[in-house]
Formats: sequence, C-alpha cells, structure tokens
Amino acid sequence: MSGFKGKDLFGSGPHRFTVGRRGQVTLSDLDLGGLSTDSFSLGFRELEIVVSGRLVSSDEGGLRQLVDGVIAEILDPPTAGVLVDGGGTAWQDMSLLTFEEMGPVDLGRDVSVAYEARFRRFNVLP
Amino acid sequence: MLLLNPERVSFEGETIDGVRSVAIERQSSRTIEERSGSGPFASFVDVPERSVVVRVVAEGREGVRDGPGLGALGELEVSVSALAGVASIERVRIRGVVVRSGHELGRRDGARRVLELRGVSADGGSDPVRVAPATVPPGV
Repeated sequence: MSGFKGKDLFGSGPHRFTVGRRGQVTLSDLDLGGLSTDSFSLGFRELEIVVSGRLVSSDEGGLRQLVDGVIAEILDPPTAGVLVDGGGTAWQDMSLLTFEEMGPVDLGRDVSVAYEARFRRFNVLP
Repeated sequence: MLLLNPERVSFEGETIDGVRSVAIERQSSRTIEERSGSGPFASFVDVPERSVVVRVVAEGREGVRDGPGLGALGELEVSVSALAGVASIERVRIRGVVVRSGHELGRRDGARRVLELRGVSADGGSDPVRVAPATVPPGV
C-alpha cells in the first residue's frame, strides 16, 4: 500500500509513481553572458516524484474528503516525510508541493477525479 | 433494448407509420480506463459520459413527406404489447433529437425508412429513456 507520512492518501483509486530527473544541475557559460562552451555544476538536483492517478468515491462528498485529505498535507513551510509507493519503495525526506485535479469530476458508476500530486526532496528544507 | 413490430410509434404526437423496429442502444461517449502500475490490465474502468442512440426502422414508402427534420427535439413514444397473448400495453418514451432521417435499400425487404435520434436528458442526470409500466386498455 502506498502512503505519505503513514497516511493512505491515494489508495481509493489507481495511481502510479513517476520519478523525475536525477543528477546534476548545470549552468552554461553562454547563459551567463560568457563566450565559452563551459558549464558549471551547481550541485545535485532535488528529487521530484509525481503521483498521478484517480481518487474514487461513491459520492461527491466522499470525493471532496479525499481531495481535502491530500491538500491538508501541503504545508507552509513544507515538512518532510516518507513517501512509499505501491511496491513498498520508500523515499525519505519528501514534501508534498502541489496537488492538481487534471480535469472535471467524473460522474459515472463512481465519482472520481484524475490528479497529479508533486513531491520534492528539498536539498535544504525551507 | 429492441422493440419489434410496435403497436404505435409517434414523435411529438405525430404517428410514424409502418415501424418494424425500434432499437435503443447505449454507448460510451468517454471511457475511463486506468492502470495501477502493478500489471498490464486496467484496474479501474468507468463510463462517465454516455449516449443513447435510437434507431427507428419503418417500411419505405414513396412520398415527399420526410417526417421530423434534423435537429428536431421531441419525445418519441413507442407502444408495444408487453406480453404475448395479453392485451397490455407498455410505453417507452425517449426524449431525443433527430440526427438522421434517411432511407436504406435491402435485397430482402426493399426500401426502409430510417430515423435516428440521440437521447437528451432533461437535467443531464436523468435517463432519456423511460419505460411506463404495462397497462391494460379499458374494456379488455
């Protein structure tokens, strides 16, 4: 079962984890106004993980509760926790940055909405 | 739903003669099919947008009257005998818009007049197709 800070935020429906680009952040000399092809390493990129899926409920009220439950984890300033995917892989020190509904609420057999939740591991927690 | 040889078919009160069949089909206009990533198959499928397609097939008759025009909104009422040998009538009412009015030719049954409608819900949530319970005509 997936989870964030021990809470099952996404288990009502199907969801998948996408791990973003990993590695160095570099800046080219040209971008800085120079004339060389050199680039400068600024350090490791912050890890970003996107959870995309669909929250599913039997009624609209239940769906709003599921959405509110995710949004409640977006904190200012961000606080870090463990993000676990459906396969049991755990990412430490992740913060929930954004939650976006990817379209209107769908009223079919169930009430559901597609979403993207974006997590980041800050190099320095704000 | 397939209604063969209905007793009477009308659109906005105007009778459509010689109807052989009325077929009511429900189609998905949009299907949600999502996977959880734990295997190749969909783990969630739903149909949040649906269409009701009604096809009325009647005997083809020569003439210049075409009946309801394209885009006409109205109620199609189909009366059928509910049970064989019982003089009870079931009524199916469909609120819809005419999207096709044409003719087809077949080797076996000659000319057919075809009318197609798309169901329209009054509020988006209620079914455009309503089936009234069977009633026994008075005096039977």
